[in-house]
Amino acid sequence: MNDKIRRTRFNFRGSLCMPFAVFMALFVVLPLLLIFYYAFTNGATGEFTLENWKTIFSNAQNWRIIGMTFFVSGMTTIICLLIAYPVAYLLANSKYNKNKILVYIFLLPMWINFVIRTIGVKSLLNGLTSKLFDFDITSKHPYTAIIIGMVYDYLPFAILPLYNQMVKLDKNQIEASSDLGANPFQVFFKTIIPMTVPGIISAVMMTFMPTMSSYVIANKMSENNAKILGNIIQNYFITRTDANSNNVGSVLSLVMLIIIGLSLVAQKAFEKDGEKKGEVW
Amino acid sequence: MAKENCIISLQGVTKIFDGTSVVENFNLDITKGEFVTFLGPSGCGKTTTLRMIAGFETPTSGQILLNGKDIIDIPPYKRPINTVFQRYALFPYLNIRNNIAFGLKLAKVPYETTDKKGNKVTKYRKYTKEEIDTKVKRVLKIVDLEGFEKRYISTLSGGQQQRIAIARAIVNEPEILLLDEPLGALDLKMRKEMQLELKEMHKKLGITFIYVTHDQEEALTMSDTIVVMNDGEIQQVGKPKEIYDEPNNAFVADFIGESNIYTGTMIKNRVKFLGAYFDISDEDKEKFENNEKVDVVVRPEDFVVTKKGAGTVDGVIISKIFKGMHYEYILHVGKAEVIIQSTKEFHEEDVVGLEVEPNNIQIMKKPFTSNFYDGFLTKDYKVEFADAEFEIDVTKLYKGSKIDEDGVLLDEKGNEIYTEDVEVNVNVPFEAVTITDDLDASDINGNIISMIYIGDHYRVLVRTDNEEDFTLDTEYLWNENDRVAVIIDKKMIEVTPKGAKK
Repeated sequence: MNDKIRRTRFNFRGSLCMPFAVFMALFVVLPLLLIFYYAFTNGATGEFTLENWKTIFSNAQNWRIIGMTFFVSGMTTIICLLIAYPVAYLLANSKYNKNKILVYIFLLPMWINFVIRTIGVKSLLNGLTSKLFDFDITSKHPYTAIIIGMVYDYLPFAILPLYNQMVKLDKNQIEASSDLGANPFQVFFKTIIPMTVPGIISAVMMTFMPTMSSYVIANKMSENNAKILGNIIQNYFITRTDANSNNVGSVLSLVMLIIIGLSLVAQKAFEKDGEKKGEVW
Repeated sequence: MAKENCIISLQGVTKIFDGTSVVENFNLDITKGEFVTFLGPSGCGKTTTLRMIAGFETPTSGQILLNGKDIIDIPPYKRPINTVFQRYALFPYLNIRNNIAFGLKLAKVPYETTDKKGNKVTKYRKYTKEEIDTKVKRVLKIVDLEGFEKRYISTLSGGQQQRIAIARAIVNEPEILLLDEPLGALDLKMRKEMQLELKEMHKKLGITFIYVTHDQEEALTMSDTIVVMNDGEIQQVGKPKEIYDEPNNAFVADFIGESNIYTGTMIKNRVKFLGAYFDISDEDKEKFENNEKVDVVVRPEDFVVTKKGAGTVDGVIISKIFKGMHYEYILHVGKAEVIIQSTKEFHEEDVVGLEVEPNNIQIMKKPFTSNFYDGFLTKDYKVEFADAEFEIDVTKLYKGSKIDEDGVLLDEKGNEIYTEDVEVNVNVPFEAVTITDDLDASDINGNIISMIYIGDHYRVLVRTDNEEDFTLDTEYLWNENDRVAVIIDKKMIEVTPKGAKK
């Protein structure tokens, strides 16, 4: 009798995660399997082949684009971090940010659709460069334009985890550092930065991973003058319509998946044992 | 001004936060190698004083002299002073060795060398890795945690973290070690052990210790000198025994150990309290005038219990608690309560006699029995002080004045007296003040800052939001920080003209 009740309760609880399991199976696991399948088959004949991989990696331009993607994402991440760190530090200081309104002002852009935001930045940037320096940045320096757009779009995502880490900073430890002989400069590098490492890791992940896979920002900011990884994938899946294009695109998708997977592994390695994990939000 | 061998001297140090003074006119000289404890209830300004010495706060006024030099403008990292923080403030991202070595790695060591021209010059270098390792090893031995170098903070117990915090501070060989309630987070047994160890360490190292605590027992056990503080002011400075045996005022007596505190009257070289006359020491006979109101303190262990009628007064035993070494009794003598300690056993409702050796009766001048305020008159002949207005008989202020039928104040010659903004001294005796928890009962609302039990009543200090203090006596038990309304019996308000001004 008793046993029966327990069993029914267990089943009920278990069944609560059924919708999630179905969703994951349909929209995450199945597409992944499909991509995997496509990457190793010919779209026209359905036969197993490695031809798709050859198509991608024998093309020098693809290699260059993958390299540029790393460069653009890396630069975006570094610039975001350099801007976000001091901003988060000031925001976390209640002297400058009494009622947290400043935080909301910095996060406000996140509420606006990011395509619109990107177009806005592009118009502003175009206007500025053509008026002030008399050149068209989108055609002359498309990658610079992409980085500027990405920094603008992902800055709030870098500020937020850093800010969350910094409000938790123990003032006593900063004082202890100063008490033990560290000047303000040394306090910053020897105490504040090490104590905010989890926030830094989160901020890096929050900017590096989405910029690696983004293509809309690159499209809009460079007006299709420059390509990054996302653009070629888009090209294979949407623009081109020949029988095998989806299969070649799948290879690139897998490549991106591997890159993101590797960066997650790197994050784990960065977090020392026993230390708190970086919190994203 | 500073005494010989004085390492640090605080002169007239005052700290004001947002208009509230936290530390007021703090004067203290500390001798080299001394173990000084700042003792007081929370919020008395002891930690703020410590933080000013460390350099985390700047005094609003006053001087802090380290070896005779003013250090107020010197930032914390340049002061030869180290702090053990209340919550240790160890660095979780470093292992024990690097936590302790934190200060050493930053230190610059002077050394003498000869330059190319053969002149002797002083240069600075960093400690070498070997030097650091030796020093770390040595302090770990002092705090009894040898071999812990590689471990991380999160793997240590509270007591061990405490020791590391001390090690991290003393490894820099500071001239002064500041300890901000360092044992507050430890359990009782651990705390007792650490007290003795700290005392031992102090002896061995010869560093000046400034220790902050609210635990009177801790202060009595460890210190060479105790500084009792309340409400931002020093109440008494002295050796533990002096503070215990000869408290300066009722606050110190109440805060240090258990005390019976009464209001007494000096009558013909004796003191009257508990409804009886007690003999006093010759010293006290000279200090006080006949009929002077005084505070009387008798420690529970100083009451001698005799048979009924054989002592100075008789009392009824109300309760009895066995405390191991002795019994603690609460007696009623008339309306007043008396706490006594005795090794003899009595029973509840026994009537016993009590007497006290003259030397064991501490007699202290009453600080004051009235509240004084600066007030001013309004044009409709009220007096305004402490943000409230009270009707008074204004004719008492001006000789020969009267109020005519139109309600106008006239002087002897019949001219109108304008009272608007005339400054006056206002005197409100303790008896005139009562408090209630009905906040609408008066315009003056405040929080209870302190309560001292004086035999048959409590002396309560109420402070309003605008920093006006009201002291009053009440029979009822309130709690600190209670929000109360202050009611003043306007008939008992005394108003006198200010100074010689017209």
